[in-house]
Order: sequence, then structure tokens, then C-alpha cells
Amino acid sequence: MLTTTNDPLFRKSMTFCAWSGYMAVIFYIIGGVILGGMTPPLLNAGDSPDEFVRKITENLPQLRVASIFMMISFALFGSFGAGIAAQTRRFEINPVFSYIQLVFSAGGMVIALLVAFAWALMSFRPETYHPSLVMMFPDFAYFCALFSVPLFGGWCVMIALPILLAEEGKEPFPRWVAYANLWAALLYVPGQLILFFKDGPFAWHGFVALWIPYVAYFGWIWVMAIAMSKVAKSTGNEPPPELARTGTAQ
Amino acid sequence: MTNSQLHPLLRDATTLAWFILVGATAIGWWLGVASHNAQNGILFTTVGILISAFLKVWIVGFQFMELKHAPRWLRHGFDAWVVVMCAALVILCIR
Amino acid sequence: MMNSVVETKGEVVTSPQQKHIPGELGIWVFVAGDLMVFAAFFVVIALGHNGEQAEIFAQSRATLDMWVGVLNTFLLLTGSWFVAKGVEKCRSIHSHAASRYFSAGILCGLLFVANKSFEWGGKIIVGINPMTNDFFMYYFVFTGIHLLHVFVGLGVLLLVRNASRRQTIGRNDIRTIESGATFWHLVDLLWIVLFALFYLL
Repeated sequence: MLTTTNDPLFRKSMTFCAWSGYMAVIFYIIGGVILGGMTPPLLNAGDSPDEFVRKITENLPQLRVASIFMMISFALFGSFGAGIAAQTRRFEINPVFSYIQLVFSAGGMVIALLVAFAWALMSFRPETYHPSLVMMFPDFAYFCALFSVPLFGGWCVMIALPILLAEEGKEPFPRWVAYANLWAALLYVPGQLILFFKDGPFAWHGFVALWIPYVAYFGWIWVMAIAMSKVAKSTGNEPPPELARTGTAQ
Repeated sequence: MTNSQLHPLLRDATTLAWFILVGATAIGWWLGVASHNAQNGILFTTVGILISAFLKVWIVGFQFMELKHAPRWLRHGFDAWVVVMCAALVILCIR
Repeated sequence: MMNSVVETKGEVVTSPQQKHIPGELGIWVFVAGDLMVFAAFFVVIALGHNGEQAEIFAQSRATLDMWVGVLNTFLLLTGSWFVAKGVEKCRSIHSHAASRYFSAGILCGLLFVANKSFEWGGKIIVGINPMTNDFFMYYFVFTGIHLLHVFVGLGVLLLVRNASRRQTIGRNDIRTIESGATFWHLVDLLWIVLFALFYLL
């Protein structure tokens, strides 16, 4: 019977997945917050295209370096998400939600990578592109990040459901983690409003639509990373004997 | 003995709470109409509206959400939110 | 005669004896979070009440029909009464009577949605929408996010009703029922404040 304590590779793997989460947050703070002007927003949805070109041209080096940091951060969403799915998998006899979580993780990672691509393209040659095209890149980036509530919020729901539906003692994570995921999903919801506003708190640079989902999202990554660290240290949930893997290939 | 002499509805805390809530809503409504029509006394109506609202909120938490049977820390946490929110909104609305 | 005996014993039988977290800790994590977020929303509305937009706020507020808001408040309060009663019944008697209370709560929720749709529809037809001014931007967005909660709450009440219909209601079912009821009361609670801030002030 393989529990976490008997499976050193699993412990190292989960530690890696947890650290993917921590590093994703740290790299985003460097890339998106400090250098890249994503949060707090350098740009404003209500500005003219020429204003976009001006601001971008004035900050070109930081924006370019930031894109690389963001790219690394968002790629780590893959291993982060897969780690959560791996722990969920341990509690399923016939896997369903672990598969669903993998799909949503992959989706989240790809959409996030598009955000980094757009940020890079925005700073590639703003003097050559037509100004309204330059404006479309940050529009595209923020829409990928914020207008994707069914994807990122859905991912949280797919983590919460197998916990809440599980029988007593057979939950992959503690039940409060499920509720925290549902709350995170709710906090992403204002992001869906950016389509209807070009100014004010519900635009993509606005306090409600930008800050609440972003802080909730990276806070969620940190919380889930801690949950995985606990599993790696054998202080997380363990499957009951009848579910534990025997070490032979399944 | 006195308990059984009370009208059945008054012995039922949940139903009593509902009556109070509906009454507080009516009071709030009256204050709302008054505040829209009045030239002075706005301070009184504003404070009255907010206090009646948060009184209702507290009753929903205490009785309906069964905080009266909950551990102290949970109930006091909720009480604190009610008091702080009410005070903050009153201050913001009457300045 | 039988009824009065049940009544006098009602209070003792239907409430939990010791200190007990209604539902489970997790739902209160969610409730606390929601209360924090809506606290921010409430502050934003109050800031508009007395700020530079005070005139616009006052004029816009006057175009809302107070009685519609009162009706909505009444519907949610009554819905909460039904749900609270349903939870009590689940603890004391295990019959379909309990699930009927939850059905009544769901009905109140549906009437709320209908009333709100009628109210919003009336506004939109005369050209008032979230883009009209800041008051209506906050009005539509915040009552909209609340409406989302109502929809989720209706789904949750369906789950609660299902749990209450089981032949034997176990500990997990009580947990589901209480947690679901707690969420529904949160929906009621948030509306009480929104009603005061948008309709009454």
C-alpha cells in the first residue's frame, strides 16, 4: 500500500507542483506587477490609440522583459494544475474529475500564455503597427485574462466538486478548500463585465473588474500550492486503504 | 407555565423574527418615503434607514442563520461586521 | 390537542443543543468572503451618496419604484422563513413536509427573479441602463451580482430539497441542508442592505 510516506517520488513530485505555484506568483509579481504595468495598469481602456502608442513606446524595455517573466509564470500553471489533478486522482477509483481538471488546467495555461504573447507583441514594433492595432493587443490580453470566467472560475468549480461530492474521509483536499475555490470563482465574476465598460471600476483597468479577480487568482494559486505542500509533507489528506495504489502499474 | 400561555407564534422564534423583519422593512419604507419628500430631518431618516437595515441583517444572522447556537467566535465575528459596516455607512452617508 | 403538545415542545426539539457551527466551517469561509466583498460594494455606493455625484444619485434613486424593492425584500424574507422552518422540520420530523418548505422557498426566489426582471425591463425600455450614469452603473452591476447569487441560491435550494427527501437523513445530509440554508440566508441578508442603499436613502 503506497501512502505518501512510502512514496518518495510522489513527495518530490508534489513539492515540485507546489513550487510551480509559488514561482508562478513570484514571476508574475516581477513581470506583471513591477515591470510590466499589467497590475497596476499602465494603460487605460478609455484612452485614445495614440495614447496607447505613447505609453508603450515610453516603457518599451520594461514591457519586453516583463513579457518573458510573465511567460515563465504562466507556463508554470501547467505543472501547478496537474499537481492538483494528481492528488484528486488518488481518491478516484474511476477517474473523472482528475481528467476534467487536467483539461481546465491546460486551457488555463494556454489562455494565460496568450496574455503573455499579446503583451510581447504589444511591445514588438508599436511604431510600425497602426495605433488601433497596438491598442488591440492589451485589449486582447486583458480579455483573455478577465473575460474567461467560465474557464478559470470553472477550473475552481472542478476542484471544489470532487471534494464536496466525496464521501466522508475520502476527500482529496479538506472541505474548506472546496469553499475557498468556490469563493475564488465568485471573485472572478466581475471580470466578465469588461466587455460593457471602457471606463470606471468595471473596465479592464478598473478596480473591481481588474484587481479583485487578479488578487483572487494569484491568492488562489498560493492557497492551492500550500495545500499541495501539505500533501507532499504527508500532512494532507490520504486516501483510505481501499483506494491506495499498490505500486503496480494501473 | 407562562411560556405555554404565549400565543404559539410568539413562542416560535423563527416566526417572531419574520414579523420583526417585516415590521422593520415597513419602517424602513416609511423612512425612505419621508427622506425623499422631506427638506430637513434628512439626518434622522438616513440614520434610521441604515440602522433598521442592519438590525434586520443581524436578526437574519442571529435567528435564521442560527448563529445564536454557534460558537462565540463565529457569532461575534458576524456581530462585529454588522456594527462596523453600519457605523461606516452611517458616517459616509451623513458627512 | 396533539398540535398544542407539539407546539410547546417545538422550541426544544427543533434547535441543536450545544454550540454548533451551522452547516460546516467551509460555508462560513465563503460567507465571510462574500461579506467582505459586498462590504466594499456598499462603501462604494455610500461614497456616491454624498460625493460630487450626490445630485445625480438622488435624482436617479427617485426614479426607482420603492414598492418593487419592498416586494423583493418581502419575498426574500419570507423565502428565508420557509427555508429556516424547513431546516427545523428536517431535524424533528422526517417526512415530505420538510421538503415542501424548501419548495416554498424556491418559489419565493423565483418570484424575486420575475419581479426583478420586470423592474429591469421597465427601466431598459425607457432607456435607463448601466451606461446611463454612475448610480445606475452601480445599481445594475451590484444588484446583478446579487441576482447571480439568487440563481446559485436556487440551485443550492434544489440540492437541499433533494437531501431533505431522503428516507433517512444522515449527518452529511444535515450538513448539506444547513450549509445550503446558510447560503440562502446570505442572499437575503445582502439584499436587505442593497435595498436600503439603492431604494430608501
